[in-house]
Amino acid sequence: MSTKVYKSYRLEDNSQVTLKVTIGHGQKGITDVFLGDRKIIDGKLGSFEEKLPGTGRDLNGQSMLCTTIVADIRTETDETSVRYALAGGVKPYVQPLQESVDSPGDVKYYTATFDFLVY
Amino acid sequence: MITGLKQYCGAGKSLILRLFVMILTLAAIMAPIRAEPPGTNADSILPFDMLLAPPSPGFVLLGGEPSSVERPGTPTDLALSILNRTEDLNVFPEDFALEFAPYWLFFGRQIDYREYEADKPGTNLLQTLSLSFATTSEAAFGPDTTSSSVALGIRFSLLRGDIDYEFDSLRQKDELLSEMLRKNLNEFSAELHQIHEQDEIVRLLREQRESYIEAIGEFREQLEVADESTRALLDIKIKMHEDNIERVSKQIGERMEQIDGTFISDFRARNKEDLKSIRTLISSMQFRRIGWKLDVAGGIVFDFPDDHFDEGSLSRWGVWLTTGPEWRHWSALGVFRYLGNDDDSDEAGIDAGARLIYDNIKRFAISAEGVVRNFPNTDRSDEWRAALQVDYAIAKNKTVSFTFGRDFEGNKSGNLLTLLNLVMGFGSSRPLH
Repeated sequence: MSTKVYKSYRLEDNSQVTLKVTIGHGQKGITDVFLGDRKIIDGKLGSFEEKLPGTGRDLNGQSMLCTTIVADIRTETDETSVRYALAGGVKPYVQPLQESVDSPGDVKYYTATFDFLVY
Repeated sequence: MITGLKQYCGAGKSLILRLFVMILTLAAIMAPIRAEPPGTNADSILPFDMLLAPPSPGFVLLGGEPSSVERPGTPTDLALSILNRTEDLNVFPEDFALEFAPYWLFFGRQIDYREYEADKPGTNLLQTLSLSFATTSEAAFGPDTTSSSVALGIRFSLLRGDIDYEFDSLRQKDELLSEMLRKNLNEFSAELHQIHEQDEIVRLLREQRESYIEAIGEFREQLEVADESTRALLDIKIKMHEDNIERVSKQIGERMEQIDGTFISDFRARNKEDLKSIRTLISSMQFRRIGWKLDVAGGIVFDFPDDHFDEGSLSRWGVWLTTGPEWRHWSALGVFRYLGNDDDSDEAGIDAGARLIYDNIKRFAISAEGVVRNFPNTDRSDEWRAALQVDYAIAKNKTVSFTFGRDFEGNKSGNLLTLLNLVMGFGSSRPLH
């Protein structure tokens, strides 16, 4: 699988968007999120769910960049994974990403870019 | 993946063959050491809990396991054991066990650290569930037959203890790791965000897509006042522009993937030293679980006389509980096992045993076990097994263990128990269990 995803996410004017990030395989992960020029989530540890500020009308045309670093802390596996999910738009969206580290104890970088569109 | 190679020691018959097997074994040990990435000091830290690999439940039923009282643990995704039961190291291994953890394999993406950390019976059961498939050749049945046996096994923990954050400064190391990851990610995300913002191709594609969106808006306004024939045309135009939006979005996605891929490689290269420090820190972290453990295991054995598939039949089965407390350096485990035998009910047995383990943590562990087997359906006297086992970490994810003692009766080579067990991990620091 991959560690990168891009999605244009369609909203309604009054959509309330929720972002859910799940760090899988029992590993340790930290996430940053930029919405437009503003960093709205800074160094969040582990899995989380966050409601984005504003409605679909406010988010229209904006881009959201989610970056997650996952460290392979478990000796039982080399797998790392991150699941990015969006809800509140025209359709819910879930994208699981998974990749194994090259050597035990290494890290993987995951990126997810979402462009919010109302049309 | 971890491979275990177990060799029965004994008086040699063929020096050449024995040397050949030893050379192969040494080559297998050395190859993964050479394959370790630059910057990894393989011998600096040796997480030991992974080295005390219990045998697959299938092998316990088939006999010849290094320890009869298994140590509870979290299973790896997939493990392969290769056993050599042959005497004198004269024949290549013919016995294999494949063990895998289905929940981690199929639902690993949904298990986050909080769930992994928790000690709840339901979660424990799913996360520690492992299924195994083992096969053995005639060695289990005596020299005058050529039968093979296949064992299916299952194992899971209901209690697995809590992660000991006070052990070896794990809490401080964990906090330091979070800090290092945050710092690294902060630079990563800031740089990547800037690159995304400044990329001319992405900017132009977004503008192009915006023009399609605006056009759709205009068509929708026209729809409100349009007559029937114009309405159909506008619907087609809207559909075309929606397709264009999809097409351009796909192009943006491809460009983003290219940007992110290049950036990740470049960032990793520039932060090589930081990533090495993170790896070193992680390799020093030991997520040991202490507290009360409770494992449930079981399995069934099918015998195939003369290796004929059609003549295969269920012969033996067993279920057992392993339980006891684990402290930082000591573990005291007890086992209660019922072994059924469909071919000969007189062979059905009940095992009760205990094992005391001392962990030196970094390098070795020593354990002593004693198991008594009672045969409830006959007047046959009880049998017993007593063994001393030493496990020594020769390198990261490579260990050698030696078992010496008295086995149950019935083995073709008597009841002297002398086992040399080599456990090797390939590509990961994964434990066999």
